[in-house]
Amino acid sequence: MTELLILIVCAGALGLGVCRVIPGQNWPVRFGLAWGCGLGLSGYLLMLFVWSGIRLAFPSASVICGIALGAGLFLWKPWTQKALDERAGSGSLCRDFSPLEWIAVAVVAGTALAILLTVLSTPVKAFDARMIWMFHARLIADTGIHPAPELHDPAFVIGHPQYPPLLPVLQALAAILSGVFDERWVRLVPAGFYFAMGGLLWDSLKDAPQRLLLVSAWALMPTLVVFEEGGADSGLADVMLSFYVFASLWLALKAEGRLPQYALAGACAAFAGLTKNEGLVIAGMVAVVLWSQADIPFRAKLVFVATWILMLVPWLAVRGQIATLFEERYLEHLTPGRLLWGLDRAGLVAGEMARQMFLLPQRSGLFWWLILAWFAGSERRRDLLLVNGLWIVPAYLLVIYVLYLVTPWERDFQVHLSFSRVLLHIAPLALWAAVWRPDRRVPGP
Amino acid sequence: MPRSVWVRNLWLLAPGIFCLLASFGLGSVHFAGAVRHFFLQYIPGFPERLTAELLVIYWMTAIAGIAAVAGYLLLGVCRLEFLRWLLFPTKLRETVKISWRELLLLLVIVNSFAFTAVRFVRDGVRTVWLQGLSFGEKKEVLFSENPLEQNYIVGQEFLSGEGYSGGNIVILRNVFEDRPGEYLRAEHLHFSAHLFPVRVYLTYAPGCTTNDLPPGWMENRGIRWVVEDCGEHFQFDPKPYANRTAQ
Repeated sequence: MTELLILIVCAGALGLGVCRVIPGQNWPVRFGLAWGCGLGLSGYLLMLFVWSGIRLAFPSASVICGIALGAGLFLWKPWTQKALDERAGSGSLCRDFSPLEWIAVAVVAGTALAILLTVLSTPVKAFDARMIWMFHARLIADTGIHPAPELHDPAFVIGHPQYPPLLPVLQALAAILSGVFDERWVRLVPAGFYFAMGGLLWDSLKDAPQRLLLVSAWALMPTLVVFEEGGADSGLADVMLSFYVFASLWLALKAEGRLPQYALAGACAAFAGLTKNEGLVIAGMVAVVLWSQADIPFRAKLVFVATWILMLVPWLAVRGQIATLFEERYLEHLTPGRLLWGLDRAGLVAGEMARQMFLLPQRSGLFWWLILAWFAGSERRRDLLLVNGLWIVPAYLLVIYVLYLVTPWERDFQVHLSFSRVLLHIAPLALWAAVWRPDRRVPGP
Repeated sequence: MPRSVWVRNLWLLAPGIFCLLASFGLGSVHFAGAVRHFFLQYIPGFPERLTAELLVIYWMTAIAGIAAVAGYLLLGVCRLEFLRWLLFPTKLRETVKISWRELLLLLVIVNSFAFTAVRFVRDGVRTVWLQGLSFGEKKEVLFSENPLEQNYIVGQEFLSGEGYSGGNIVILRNVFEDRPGEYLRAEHLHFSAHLFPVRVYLTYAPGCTTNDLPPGWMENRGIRWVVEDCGEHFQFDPKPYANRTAQ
């Protein structure tokens, strides 16, 4: 427990230090970015260590934490900066809440507490969490190597050996620091991204009409929490991926010419790809959104894309060496012949996707109705799509739809299995893109 | 001549009547059946939890219906002032016009509140249900809900049994299936994850015997246990493997 706290403090310090590139943010936003960027960078550093041949054990894990803490403090320089900058905007938001907004805040806080208690008191129950993510983390913690020798052996039974390692590496780091693989503590790592996302969404209130606090909080709640198999307390990587794709778009569109912030956005895009394969697709779409904005300088676009790609290259090289026993291999199935074969079930798959999106309240509440209605009722539909990047939602769903058509699983089986988690990936991004008003930007100092 | 406020707000009555019909009209048993049929077919097992959740949804629907009708009466009198007070901060209260967006907002709130409440109830019921069990026992109970994992305890008993003296496991399989993984079953993944750090391997063996494997294959992987999975159903029944070179 103490060791896990040390990891969080070190990664948090690094995150806070890096977040100095974004001036004038309030404390929930800083917390969100510190958690996400701090853990992302620490995990990335650790991956580079391990891939360069250094075995992951207590001494190397301590060195990582030391580097994170040192770099964080160096970048943060709390002793030289005026504390006023840190506190910019904090607290002022709560002064004029409506009664219902106060209820919303209370429920958000209560739900966060419920997540924490569930994580700390119950075993990891979700099938994929135990068969994939936790298992990969245990393998890394046991061997100290990634990819472990077992991953080169196609006979070794493990789900998705080629899945990206950011979450397992972080969980292995927490376990090695603790000296024992306690699934309760290591599950705090993905669960924490729910709180981090809350922090980042808080910022949308500054830009959007204030009553959107209510909408954001309430609408996102069932999407991220109630769905049991992929929710914030399940131990799966989906909430973590949601955070990184959202953070990437958020940082990029609010950078206002600050190159370090574009680099950080590119890093978050890379973290998305290092969390789940779907992150490669959505981060690519975020890059297109950025590239299509005429008022963003070319240099800034280049910084984003270069950071994103350069950070991904080592992983793509490592991934090629891993054997496969159980992988979906979607790209291999993506052939014209296979697509024609899949057309037989086109209606069935589309119908099931629509049903899960709009008709199953235990999966996403009325969240997608809300986004649809908000978009339909807006006078700035073109801006929402092109400037805010809301087009990512239909484009990503189209990609997923095509993949569902070519998958060798029977009929709409794969849709039943995974689509609600797919929706989770784009939920916070969709919410923010549907309500953000660039013209209400708070100018930086 | 302007229409009466009561008539103008008549649409507010529709969701209220719908909720009242769905709850009191159907009764709790049929209501639960309908919700199960339309919304909850993917949630596995755990009947106690489902009953409690459905009961909560039932009563929340009933309360929403009563509240909607009461709201209509209230709003009819005070011209949406209550809604304005509830939704908006003081600054906006006088200026904002109530539109369909605000009603959508209310719908989202009611819906989200219902499912967040279900979540709390579920956790509460589960906590009571698992009270007094150790962490390991909680695992056994929770995993037993999933048909693929009901034999979690079998693997644990194997590891802690007197017969087990170390070594890895191989599963021999001679059946291919037309799906990703080809001859991998979900149960294989389950046992591999739960028996770790014991390594579980899976290989194709047409005759379902270790003689199908090349020399040294077993020894290189430190295998001392063999599971034959060549029938219709998987059964975890490891048999000790005697090293061929030692023989």
